[in-house]
Amino acid sequence: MNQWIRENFEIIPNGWVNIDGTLTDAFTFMNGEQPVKSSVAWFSVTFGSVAIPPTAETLKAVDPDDLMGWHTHFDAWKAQGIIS
Amino acid sequence: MAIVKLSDLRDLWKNISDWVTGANSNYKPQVQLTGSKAKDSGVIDYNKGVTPLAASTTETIVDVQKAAILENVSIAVDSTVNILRFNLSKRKPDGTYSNLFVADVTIGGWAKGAGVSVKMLNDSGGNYLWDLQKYDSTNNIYAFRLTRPLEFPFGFKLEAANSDSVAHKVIAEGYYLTLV
Repeated sequence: MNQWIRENFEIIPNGWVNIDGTLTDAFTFMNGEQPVKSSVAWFSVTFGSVAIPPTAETLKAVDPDDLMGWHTHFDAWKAQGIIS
Repeated sequence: MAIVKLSDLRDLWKNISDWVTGANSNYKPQVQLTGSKAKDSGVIDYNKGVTPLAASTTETIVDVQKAAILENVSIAVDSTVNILRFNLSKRKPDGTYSNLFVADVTIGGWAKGAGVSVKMLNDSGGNYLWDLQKYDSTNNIYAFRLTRPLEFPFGFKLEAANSDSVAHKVIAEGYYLTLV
């Protein structure tokens, strides 16, 4: 997943600030007019069980109740042709 | 009481009209504000109440890429823990941003800015930049407000960051002025 993220999104080196103040790489995307940034490491771990290439369906299946709030982003990725 | 002739009054008004921008030949004042730096105003309207801010994401609340005054902003959140941050950055002449303040929305948390750490939203209700506008511990609703306008010569950006593993509701409202 880490590699897939890096191949499909713009990467910002040390662009994510962890809660302890340390920096890790971030990736960015657009959801409509809204720019969104997230942690490459966090996403790779959280959605690491999903087969590559991921789909909106397989990604949403990790969090079916959308407690993490990512479903809308996966819908945006699908609309942009990043995933199917 | 002195009696002023109508012709004198007209002359007086004409003189006044000389420095009222836009006065016409009929001496009807067409007042135009002068001396103000404000060129336009903008509204901050960021609502992640229905579709909360996703886990481990950062979103831009407002990004103004010209000289501006951030007049006011209020932010409401649904969490007390140290996982929501609001990064206020000043835009530099080269278009990059320099983080100005990190406001951790935490009762007793810390805001880091300008090389110092400042107690944020403590029991007394805030610090030199923000104050705690509402605190509803029963419903886990917190709101805080910028306490004074901030001027940015090249613009500013305000971001919301959620470092938690679940989504959180965030609502930000305010307004700013862009400058000539």
